[in-house]
Amino acid sequence: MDNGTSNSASENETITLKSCDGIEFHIDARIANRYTLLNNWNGGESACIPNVNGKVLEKVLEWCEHHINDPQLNCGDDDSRRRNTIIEEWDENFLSCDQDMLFEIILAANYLEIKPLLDLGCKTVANMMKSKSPEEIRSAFNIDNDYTPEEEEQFRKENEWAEDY
Amino acid sequence: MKKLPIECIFKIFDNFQDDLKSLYSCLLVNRSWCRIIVPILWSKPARKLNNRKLINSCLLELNKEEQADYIELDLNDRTHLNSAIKCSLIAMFLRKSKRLKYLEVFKLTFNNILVKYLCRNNTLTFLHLKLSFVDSEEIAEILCKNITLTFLTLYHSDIGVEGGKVLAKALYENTTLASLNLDADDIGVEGVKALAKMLCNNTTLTSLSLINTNFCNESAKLLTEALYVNTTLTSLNLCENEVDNEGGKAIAKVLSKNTTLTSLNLSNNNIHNEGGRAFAEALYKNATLTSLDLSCNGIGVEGGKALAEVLCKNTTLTSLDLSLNNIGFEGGKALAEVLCNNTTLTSLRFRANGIGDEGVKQFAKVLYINTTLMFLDLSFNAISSEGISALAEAVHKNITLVSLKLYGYRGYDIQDITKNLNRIYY
Repeated sequence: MDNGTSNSASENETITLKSCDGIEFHIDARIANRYTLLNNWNGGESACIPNVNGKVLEKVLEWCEHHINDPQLNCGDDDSRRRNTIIEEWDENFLSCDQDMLFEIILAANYLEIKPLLDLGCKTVANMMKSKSPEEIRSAFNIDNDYTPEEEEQFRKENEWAEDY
Repeated sequence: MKKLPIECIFKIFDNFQDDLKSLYSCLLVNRSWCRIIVPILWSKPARKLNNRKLINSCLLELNKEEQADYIELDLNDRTHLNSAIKCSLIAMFLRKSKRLKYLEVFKLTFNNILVKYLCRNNTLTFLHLKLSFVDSEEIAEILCKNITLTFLTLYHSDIGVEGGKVLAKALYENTTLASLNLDADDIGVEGVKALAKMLCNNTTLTSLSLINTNFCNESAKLLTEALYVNTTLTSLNLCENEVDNEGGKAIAKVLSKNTTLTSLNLSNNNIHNEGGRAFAEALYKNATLTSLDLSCNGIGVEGGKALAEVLCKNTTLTSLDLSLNNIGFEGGKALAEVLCNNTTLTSLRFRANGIGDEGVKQFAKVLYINTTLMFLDLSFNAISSEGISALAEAVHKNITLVSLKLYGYRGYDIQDITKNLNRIYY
């Protein structure tokens, strides 16, 4: 197989990626062309992606494959995309997994520099926090409150103006 | 949640740029989130300063010194109270912020504490005062003590002749200011004289703007004297003033000697034909100026022709504006002919010179040959569909032009002619 760094991958070309727990994935070479970091681990035998296990890699590659024909967004679109909290139905279903998996996907997308998936994951987490009280957020994400009551009161007072927005 | 690296957490909160309420909830979740969110929430406070609760929180941050100025004021004296509170808040931001770079104030009367903080501050690089009242001695003090300020605007700030002199004096000491803007301040001939004297010694100021300052011939002569000596100033804006052919000639004359100035704007003055020809003469010798704006100066046909001819020889000028000068068909034709050979000019504004369809056809010819021009503005030139179609055809062949402006054409056919040309604006 020719090395995956070639830019003119055709539909039939595949490359091989291996997760950190040794599971091999044969994927459309166009995916690796799009997210160039994936090319680093192309080559099968010895190279495997550290930090990403097979279960997570499978999800990430599933997402990449579904979005293979999306137009590539350039940096200029960044702002408009961020402000828009609407998520497509397919993506919403895809990410309605358990919380641990969602965070694993975000971590992997960050690690593999798959920016649209990273944005999507972060947006999904943001939507889970939206319009909730601090207490609701803590229990939803299993976070401990490490404020002293005085501190909490102080921050509440200093920033309560933000409630009006 | 703990597992996510900080850049991912930041990205999550970034979704709440327009949802401060959610951001506030997250801030109260725990300490580490608080550390991330406070800077996001408090960025650009000026945009949110119409919120009473925010003002109240800010007021709680004031120290004794900052409170002193408004605490004794009569609560019914709204104007003074407002101004004092604004000053105190700005002072507090100056004291607390470690990275404030840009401060713009509008209709504000400065108090002592603000001046004191501005003298001490070492983060601010832009200070823009618009329609504000500051004692010029205080501005001078700031200029002498502050060592980071690079851009200063005193737009319409009524500093007067004395203010001009005081400011000029301060600039002997200051070694950081690169740009001074005194638009809409009348500093009189005496003020200009002081500035000119200062410019003979100053080696930091690169840009000076004196738009709409009643700058007259006398002022022009004084300032040009300095331009024979100064080797730092690269940009001079004298737009909307009272410079006529005499002043214009003086400025043109210095251009044949000065080798520093790269941009000159004399738009909306009255240099006329004679002034125009003087500039043409100067441009044979000058090899530094890249941008010249002589729009709206009554230059006329002869002046226009002279300026056109020099473009055969001059190889430095990249941007020229000769709009609104009654240059007419003859002048336009001369300019077009020269542009067939010129390979330096990238931008030409030639609005409202009455060149008509025949003139426009000359410019169409240019577009077949010239491969340098990127921006061409022929708006308001009494063009009909005949001229437009000649241009449209030429644009098809041309590969360099980025923008062609044709405002003021009211024909219905323009859409047919230009449907494939997204570079035409009309």
